[in-house]
Amino acid sequence: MQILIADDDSVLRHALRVHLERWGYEVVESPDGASAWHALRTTPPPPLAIMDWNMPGVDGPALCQEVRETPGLSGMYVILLTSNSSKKDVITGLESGADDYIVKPFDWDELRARVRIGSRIVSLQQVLGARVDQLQEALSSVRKLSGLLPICAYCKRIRDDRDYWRQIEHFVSEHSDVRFSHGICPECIEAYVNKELPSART
Amino acid sequence: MSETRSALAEETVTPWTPERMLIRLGGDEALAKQLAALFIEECPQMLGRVRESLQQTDADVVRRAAHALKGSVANFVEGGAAATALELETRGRENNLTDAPHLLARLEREIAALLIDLRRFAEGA
Repeated sequence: MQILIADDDSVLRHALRVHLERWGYEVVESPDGASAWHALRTTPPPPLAIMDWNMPGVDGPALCQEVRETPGLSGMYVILLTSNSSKKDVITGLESGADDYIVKPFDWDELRARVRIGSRIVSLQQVLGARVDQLQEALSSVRKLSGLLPICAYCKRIRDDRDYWRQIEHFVSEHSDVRFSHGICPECIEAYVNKELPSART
Repeated sequence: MSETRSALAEETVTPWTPERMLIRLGGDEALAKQLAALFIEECPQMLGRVRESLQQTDADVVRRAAHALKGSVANFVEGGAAATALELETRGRENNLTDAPHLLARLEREIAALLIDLRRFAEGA
């Protein structure tokens, strides 16, 4: 999983890169808010970001707000990394759209645990997103067969969009994933097959 | 270098120790040395920005420059130079630069002492 590190402190950026890569993540670095925003607009964007609060250009909370307001980025998991530890700062940071907030100096094991939480949430969102796509696709094929269908009261043919009267099995096959296997029900065996058999034998 | 170090030590004792840093980094000496080398390279520029900001007497520029330096120093020490940089940052936030030159002088001494220690560590076998 790719993680963006946005921090103007090159020492911390290097330490973060080494640790994150050791933990199995792929790292993208940005030394300021503007280049972080540029990195976030790549396709596909990194699903997880660790952002410093104070950066030249756009600061962390402003970047968080941008992320939340941008279609395609709103699901990104953002960890705000800062030395601002007052309760007011924590609330401001979280209200700007950050998912988590870590105060410097931090413990590397704690960071690892918090990144793992973010990574788990991102994976769950991806699984849910894929499931929603599948359901939407299924729903759209079900919708093909909804609505009012004109059907012949006698032969049960259905009139299609081009005004052709079609056999019901052709119509259903065209508008869904249904396929038919032909057989004869007991009543029809009685009504048709058994009646016609004696004449066929003669 | 040892003479310079002892002269500085009379005024400033750096709270940095390689042992404490190695504990924080899980004993990764190679990484600790890389971080020390990066800091040694970039610290003069950051300190220069603090110095320039005080000449401009723009409190917000002082706050930002001191904050950046404090963040980088805090990778190595919590007190000492990090604490002094934080004091400067606070003076900038409060728009009160009266004793800022005095704080800068202290910061310069603490940074010099820290750099000596870090150089010795980074260049050590």
